[in-house]
Amino acid sequence: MDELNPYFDIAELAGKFLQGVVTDEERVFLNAWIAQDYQNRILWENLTREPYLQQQLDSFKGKDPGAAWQKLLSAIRSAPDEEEVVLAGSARRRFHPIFRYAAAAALLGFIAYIGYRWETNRPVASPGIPVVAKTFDDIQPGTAKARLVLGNGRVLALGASAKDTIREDDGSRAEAAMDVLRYAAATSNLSEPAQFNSMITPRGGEYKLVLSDGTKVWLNAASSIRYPTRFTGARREVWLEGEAFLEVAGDPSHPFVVRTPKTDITVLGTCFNVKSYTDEPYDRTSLVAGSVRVSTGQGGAVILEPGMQSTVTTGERIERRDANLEEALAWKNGLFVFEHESLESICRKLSRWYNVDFRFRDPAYKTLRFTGRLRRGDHITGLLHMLEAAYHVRFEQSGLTLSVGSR
Amino acid sequence: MEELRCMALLNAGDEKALQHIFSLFYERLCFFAREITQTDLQAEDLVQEAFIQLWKHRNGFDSFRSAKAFLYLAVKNGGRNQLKHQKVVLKHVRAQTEPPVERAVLHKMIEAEVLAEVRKALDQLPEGCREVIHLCYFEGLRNQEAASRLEVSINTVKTQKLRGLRMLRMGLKHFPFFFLFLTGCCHPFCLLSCL
Repeated sequence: MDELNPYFDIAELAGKFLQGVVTDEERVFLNAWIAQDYQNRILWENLTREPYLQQQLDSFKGKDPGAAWQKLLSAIRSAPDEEEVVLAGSARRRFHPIFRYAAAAALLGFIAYIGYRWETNRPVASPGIPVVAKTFDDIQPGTAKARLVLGNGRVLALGASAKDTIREDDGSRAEAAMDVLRYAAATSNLSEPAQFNSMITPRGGEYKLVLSDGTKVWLNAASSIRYPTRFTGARREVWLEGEAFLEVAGDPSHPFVVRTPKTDITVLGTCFNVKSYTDEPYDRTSLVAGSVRVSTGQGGAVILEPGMQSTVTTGERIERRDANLEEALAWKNGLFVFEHESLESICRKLSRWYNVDFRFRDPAYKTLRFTGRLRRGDHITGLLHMLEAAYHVRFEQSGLTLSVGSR
Repeated sequence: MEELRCMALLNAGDEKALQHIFSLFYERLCFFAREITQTDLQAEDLVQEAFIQLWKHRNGFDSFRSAKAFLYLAVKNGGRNQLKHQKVVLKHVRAQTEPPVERAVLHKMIEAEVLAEVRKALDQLPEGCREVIHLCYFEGLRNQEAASRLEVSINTVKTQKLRGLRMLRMGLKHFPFFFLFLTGCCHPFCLLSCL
């Protein structure tokens, strides 16, 4: 188990650094580790950022260690020493006697470095990037926030801290809590016609929504969805701009229709992702489960099976092929997943989430391709440093605009 | 409990030694396990099982570090099995059940270690900030709960938490005033935030 020692050493040094008691020699060692690769750099950026540290510390406290200790004590006492010790309450999960070997095997995998693939025509930069480099401190990752436009035109701000009950003129009711707005199931004695509400996420915001029929909607940044407070007609219709993941509640007699500027998606009960940003070159629907029919205004239509996606370009041509679901659903899983993606497209995604603008000083950089996977909650600094290292590109910040060009 | 003595007692099968090790590492292991399992309950189960394994192999450890390494690996290993199981259950939602990258897990371990260290250091800050920090980080109170317990505003709680971090980050080396105020039982930043 000595293989973990280098990591414990780094953790110790980092702890010392944060307490300001690191020696010069240790600092050199630490710097070398940070400069080793961009993942180390990202971790370092995070650990030395106050908001991140605070957030992590807030969630660090375990739930009731005292009770956990009592549970452990009774588990080890009730088991005769020679036999396997079984955790109370989960009797069926036994450790295999060859645990030692399993642990050793796991260790091999544990230590193995699963690298990220870099695709670039340019040589990778030498690790000459200074450790205390510029940071983009005032650029923050997105959070749970949205605006809700009610039927009567009133606008409410929804945020992670707001807890609110919203009553509409038509008698419908919705509860906002944390990061989700939940509409109560429609009651039959509502006589008023249904109102239309809109949920709008800004750049740097995302929010969840449960419609009156139980359909769940995850709304990505810079997106909007318009929907009735309860569904009355033969079809359940919503209007979407931007990106959303939907888990449609099954109801065969009332088909669910998502309308975007370019496409209509008709579904029965299913999970799928719709991406329809006006600043993206295409609309894309990626199907996880069930079945959907995607049609364009021009009359083109395809039916998707799970694991497939349709792409509608501005010429309203519709195309169907196997989906990369990991990439399509990355945002919902708190990730950025880039598969041979152009820097221009990456920057569009970053601008929606971090609420910054990108300007290309040299258009040639737009077409550089990159493959990698990152967490959306991470600070943008590590990510930009990583791109800088891969491309010999340089990001310069002025206000909330980042200009992209050569070093 | 001193390290060598604790390990000797553990080898001899003393539950007190196990309890000491548990109190040192339980929370950081839970933090680490949450990265692997996504739910708190599963995370706690994994950590429990890791400690049970430690107890079974209690003869094999000569330092806190070796015990710690064993615990992290046991959690990681258990998490892998759990994920495999889930994967079968949730086969259709591919993207959600991708196991975390090994490297990310290693980094989470570093993070858990650093946070545990920082938290310990925060708990040793002079009075003022410390009360808030202890309530929030060690007793798990929310900002609002800590505020009403101490009869201060929630903003005071927030600023004191931040002050605490800042004090650490400035470090004693760069902050000679600290020694002057140590005798006065309060740090200037705490004084500031109390005003």
